[in-house]
Amino acid sequence: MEEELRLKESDCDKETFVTDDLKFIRDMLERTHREIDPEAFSMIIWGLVSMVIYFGAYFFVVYKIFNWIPYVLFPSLAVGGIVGGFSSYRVSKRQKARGMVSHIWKQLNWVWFILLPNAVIWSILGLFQDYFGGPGFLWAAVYAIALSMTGILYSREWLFGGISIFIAIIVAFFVRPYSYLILGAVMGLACIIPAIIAHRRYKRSEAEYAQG
Amino acid sequence: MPKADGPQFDDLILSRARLGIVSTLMAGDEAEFTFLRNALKLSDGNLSVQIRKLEKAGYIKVKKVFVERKPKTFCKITPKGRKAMFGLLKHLENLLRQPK
Repeated sequence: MEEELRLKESDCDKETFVTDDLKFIRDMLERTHREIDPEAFSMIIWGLVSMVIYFGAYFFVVYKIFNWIPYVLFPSLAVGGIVGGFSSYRVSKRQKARGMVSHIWKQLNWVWFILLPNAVIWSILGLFQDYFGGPGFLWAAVYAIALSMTGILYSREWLFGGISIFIAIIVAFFVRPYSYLILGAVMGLACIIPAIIAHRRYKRSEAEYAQG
Repeated sequence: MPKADGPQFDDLILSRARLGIVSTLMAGDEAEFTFLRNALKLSDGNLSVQIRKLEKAGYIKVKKVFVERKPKTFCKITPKGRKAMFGLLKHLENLLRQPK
């Protein structure tokens, strides 16, 4: 048998086939990893939604028209929720059709699925009780955690996005009048830029796969 | 069964084709027959034989489902398969660390 022959070879050959095997395993893992759809469209929409909400909140607070906040907040969240849900459904169907269902993708969906309802609950509680920075900071922290998790599990661009939000939270806390502007800009860009990078890489690997 | 002096290998997944199948399934949760065939550049017959061997050993689970009205065969790694793969990786690393 092939493996028996390989095992009987000299030390030098043994080292070569062990290195080859490890390289082969790594290549297979990386190849499968590249097949994961980054769901860029949904992330870009969530980036834009957070920009709209935070920039809107800044102007409503500056001009003291607080009663306008729900008219921007709830439709934006609804758009994000509907687009995100639809995008996840579409990706799940496409994964089945392509023949590879990723557990990383499932785990990431769970991360967002668990964090977002928590953020909603804490935001509602925040309306009655003021805590560190208010709901705006809480949502930024939720985004930072979810993006960092995405970075750890999937690809590091997201991790940089998560870290930049953490930094923005600290900076925004000390420049309170502009905190919503800072958080909105950083959260939006932290979602949109990695989504574009990941999407381009995915498309490139798809093209390479189709060629090769 | 030990085959050589030094660390033991899991014979079943040491073969390139089966190692490829298990590695792919380690990264993805479920992979379809055609996906595996293209990724590993194996013939249909060869892949079927390797999948059957791994399924018989309890390393992978095979299920047939309809996707857009087309029958598809999906493979999924089992905890036993995952354990075997980690064992193999550990053995390979140990072999590399061994003084010559």
